[in-house]
Amino acid sequence: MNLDQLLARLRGDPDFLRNVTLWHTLPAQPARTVSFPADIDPRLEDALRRRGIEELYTHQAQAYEHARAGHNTVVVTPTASGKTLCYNLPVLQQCLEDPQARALYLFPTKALAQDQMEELHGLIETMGVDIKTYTFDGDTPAPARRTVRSSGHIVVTNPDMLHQGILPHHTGWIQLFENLRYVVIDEVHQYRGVFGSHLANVIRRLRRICRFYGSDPVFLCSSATVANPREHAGRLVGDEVDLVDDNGAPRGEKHLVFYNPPVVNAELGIRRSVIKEAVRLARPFLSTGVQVILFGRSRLRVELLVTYLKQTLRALHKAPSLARGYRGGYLPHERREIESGLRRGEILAVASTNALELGVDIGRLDVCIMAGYAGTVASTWQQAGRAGRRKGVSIAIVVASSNPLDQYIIEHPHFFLGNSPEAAIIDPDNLAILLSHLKCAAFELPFVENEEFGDQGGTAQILEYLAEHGVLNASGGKWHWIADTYPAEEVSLRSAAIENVVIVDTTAKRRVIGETDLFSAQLLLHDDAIYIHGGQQYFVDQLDWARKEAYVHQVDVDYYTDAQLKTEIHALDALEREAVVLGEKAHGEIGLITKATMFKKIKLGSHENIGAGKIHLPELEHHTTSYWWTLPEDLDERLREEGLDLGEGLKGLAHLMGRVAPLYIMADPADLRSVAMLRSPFTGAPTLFLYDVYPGGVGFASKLYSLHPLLLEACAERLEQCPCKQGCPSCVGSDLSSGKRAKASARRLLQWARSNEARVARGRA
Amino acid sequence: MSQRDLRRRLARFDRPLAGGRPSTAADEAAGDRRPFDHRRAGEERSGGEAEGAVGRAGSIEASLEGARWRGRGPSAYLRIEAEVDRSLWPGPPTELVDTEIWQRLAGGKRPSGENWTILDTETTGLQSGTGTLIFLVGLLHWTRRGGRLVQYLLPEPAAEGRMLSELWDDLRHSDALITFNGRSFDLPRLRTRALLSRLDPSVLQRPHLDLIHPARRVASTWLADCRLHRLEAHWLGRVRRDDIPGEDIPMVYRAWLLDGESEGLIRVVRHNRRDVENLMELTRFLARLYGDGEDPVELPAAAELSLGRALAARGRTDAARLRFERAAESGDGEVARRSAAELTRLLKRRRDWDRVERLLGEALQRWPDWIWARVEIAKILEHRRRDIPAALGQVESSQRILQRRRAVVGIDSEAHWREALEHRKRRLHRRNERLKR
Repeated sequence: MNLDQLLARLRGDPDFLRNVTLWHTLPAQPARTVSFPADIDPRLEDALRRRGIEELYTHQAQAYEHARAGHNTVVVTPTASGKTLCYNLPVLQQCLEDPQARALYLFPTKALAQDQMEELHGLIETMGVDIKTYTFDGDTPAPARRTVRSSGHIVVTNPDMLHQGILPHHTGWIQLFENLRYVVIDEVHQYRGVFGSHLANVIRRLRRICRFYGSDPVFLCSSATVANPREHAGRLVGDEVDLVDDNGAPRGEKHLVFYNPPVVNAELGIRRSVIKEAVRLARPFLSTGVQVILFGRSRLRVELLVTYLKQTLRALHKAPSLARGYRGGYLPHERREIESGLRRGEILAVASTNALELGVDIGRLDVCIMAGYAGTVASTWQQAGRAGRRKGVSIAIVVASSNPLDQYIIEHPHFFLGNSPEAAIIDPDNLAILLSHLKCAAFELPFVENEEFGDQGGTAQILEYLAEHGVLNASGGKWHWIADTYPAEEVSLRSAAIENVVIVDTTAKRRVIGETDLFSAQLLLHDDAIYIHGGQQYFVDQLDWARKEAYVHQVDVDYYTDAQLKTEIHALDALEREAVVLGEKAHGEIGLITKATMFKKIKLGSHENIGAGKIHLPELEHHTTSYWWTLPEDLDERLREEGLDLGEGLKGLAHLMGRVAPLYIMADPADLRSVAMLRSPFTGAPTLFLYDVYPGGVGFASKLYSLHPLLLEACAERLEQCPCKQGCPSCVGSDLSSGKRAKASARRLLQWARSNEARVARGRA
Repeated sequence: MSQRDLRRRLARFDRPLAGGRPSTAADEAAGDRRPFDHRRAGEERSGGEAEGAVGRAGSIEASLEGARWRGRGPSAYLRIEAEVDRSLWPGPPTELVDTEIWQRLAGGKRPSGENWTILDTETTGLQSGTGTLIFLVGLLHWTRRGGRLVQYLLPEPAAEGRMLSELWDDLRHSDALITFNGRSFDLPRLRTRALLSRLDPSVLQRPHLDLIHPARRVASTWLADCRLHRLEAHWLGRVRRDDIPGEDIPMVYRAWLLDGESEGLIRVVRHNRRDVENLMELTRFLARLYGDGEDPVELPAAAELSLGRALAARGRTDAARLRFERAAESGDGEVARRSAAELTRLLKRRRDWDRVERLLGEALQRWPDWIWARVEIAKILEHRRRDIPAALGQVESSQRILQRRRAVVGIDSEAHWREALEHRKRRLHRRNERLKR
């Protein structure tokens, strides 16, 4: 049976269709093309023709024009629309015109960089010209580095290497910096939150170094669909950016299906497990040998998917090894092996976190199943883009979990299909991030008087602060680095924590199998936890917090563990506050203490709770930014009169709001947390906090502050649509965790808050 | 945002500043502390009373003989000049290091000019990258007539550009540079800092003798490490008293900048002076060691061996042979054996087969189980003497040795020998058969 027949069967299957909330067909689209630009070098045109490119897609031609005119540009088109040519074309043209010209390419991962290199090499080889293209990353051997520095026309690297390996050694890269004409930043939507805020500062440093050498490069970016590509790219590169988003590439017919697992217990609002449903849906494809990619949001979910996929394959009398997992924490060579296995068709099913969402070359698959909503519209389209070829049909199925965000999206498909409301948010002026990069910048070049770094001013004060701490010296109108350290080494662009826990497998001989940051370690690697890696279960014998090592050994058990986190908010400093009629909204800085307290053992398959244990780990403390909503104190009484409860209502709202917020901001649920306090020591009143996990925050708090009414709106809608009676994980949380009156109380709070909002809005108008 | 607010937030978000002062609770209140006023430090210096490090530098000037200010204000630096004591001057550099010795020590062609410069820098750290500041440069202009010491000291980093520019003028007049680890440390850092001050880095591209490489070749098998003070103590018989440890130097300079602590800085200046003066003596020492005359000290056999290897690598086979012979005679088992092997290789390259055979014969009397030597003899017997049965005899006794060793050790750690011998034996057998026919 081929894919068309399988799809026809699904369309006629009432059991399947009963749970489908959206079946959207994107018709095949023909290409829109224009002929090559007049000024293009004949060698380049000829090479393109020889590689089968007779004309350019409209968006490629537009991007070329903008770039040639010296405008920073961001190209927003879907996966596989030929976006790499959008930047390769102007860059190669420049190199042909001026052999001195240089370009720098930034890719978020090494794997992507390597893929792109092959494409560039191919084009350059066909031209038969001497444009030297090198990758420069942690794997580049020392003797080769000299060549890259002095003679690479196009240097392909990643933000981390630019930050730690290139900028602090800029005097070794004079050829590059003096002649830098283009900087390519691929997949800019990936650079949001912490990573994006860091990258924006790395770019500030890059531009500062370029100014020193007298160059002023043009930035060429690409992005997946987000609400604010132009603004986002602009904040990243610190300048105006032109937008190109008119996709001229062809596309095969594509089906997007939203599937909500059936309710099995209406009382408790329990639906069938998203993981099992996803694997069940994959089964007919696997049995006919159609390659399937499954996405899971967390590492744990991916590992469970792999486990169940292997079981399914066994039941189909196929080798379990045809199913593989792919996620961060795997070693690079394991990943490369899986990528090539997919390309060659040796792997039938792969379950991945969003690690495979990026353009890593795994060939094109026919079927994509997302076990849980990918979290953002952009990610969903990117993951769906893993299935689909330029010709022929493909299908992507989103299977909703019981998470409120999933349930909201699955019940509001038109929210999804409409214009993306999600904004990529960064805060390049986050003080903690700005400060680390200001140190790096001072190491790279002394600061001069009145020089500004960042958009908020205050550079001189920060420099003075550093001088007082003996890091800088101020003399003669200059600030020199004088500490005996290499500041870039202390700053990791990708995570809040500088320190990682190394995972050591002691089953046979000591073997390092991966590492993870401190925050995750307290949840995943505490003593007696079951840690799953590569589908293999490991029992954690000991987490040595002082040495930052976890010792594990392989086991085969029928349960997994789930840790609970206790959070305390202990200091506050409001930056902005405003009365909303029901109470007050605010955002500002908070101090946070988190501590993993206990864990539950949950049986595989049935998901029943079969035991628990205590976790003995020290607290983790940090400062960050939060949005909060303070309610009037007398609400307690008013609710009690109606037989409702403020505590339960708040707790329920916190659960709901924390999970609905990503509708508007491109945050990972793990980037944002919510806490309800019946009486906050700071406000002295009932308060609901939504805070940014990263120290210092990366802009979510102020955005949520401005989105307050929309957030309440979305929460209310979700609450009304949820079929449960007293609350479930899909809305206010189960009655076990939030209380029996949580749903009714939260609904009442929202009614008051929104009717008042409406009245206030009318009054103003 | 007010300055006070920003400070409070900075103290909250900043991680402990490695290398700087440790953060204290007092940082929260630091908003009240008056920051060092760099604008006032920028005013012209008048006498010794100006504020800032430049003002305080007056105390250094007084403690260092020959110190003179260059420039005014915060971009002023100290130039310290002194004649090198005649008793330390080992003679004209071009006479100590003739063209042959230069070739042996540094490779390449010796410059013809006679104005050589020993150079040593002191920095704010050992980090690579652009942010490591050079705050003290010591030069020893070593000529036919004697030695003249010039040191440049930055009381404040702001003076760097002007100081480097004068240093550049000095270097332009220099025919050769002598350093200790300059290739990896001093010169790359000077290049980087010069680029930041927009000076032409090609000035550094002059004939360069980096003493650490010839020194390390000899010292690696002899001394615990190849740090300058150790070489001075063992080779030059000079033990530094009251010297500042190199790793403390960055801290001392920061203490000077932050608190005006001048005592340490003066010790660094003296340390640097001793460095360049001793490098002159070290040059003489290494020139004699690598030369053909009498050694300046008695060398252990292992050092003879590594010196021989260094000479052989530069194509100085006669000098190398002498070293290997001495090491083979005087050394203990292993060193002597390796020296015999080196000697054999050297003689083989010269096709001096008689001596090779004699040498190997002697070696096998001393080390009968030495398979390499037996194989070498087998090769000579086969190819030179055309005595195939004798060659076979050597191979077969080698195999017996190997078997015996394997039985004792219990594991097969010499598989490569086993295969090579088996291969050779088969070949010799075939050849033997052909000869018989």
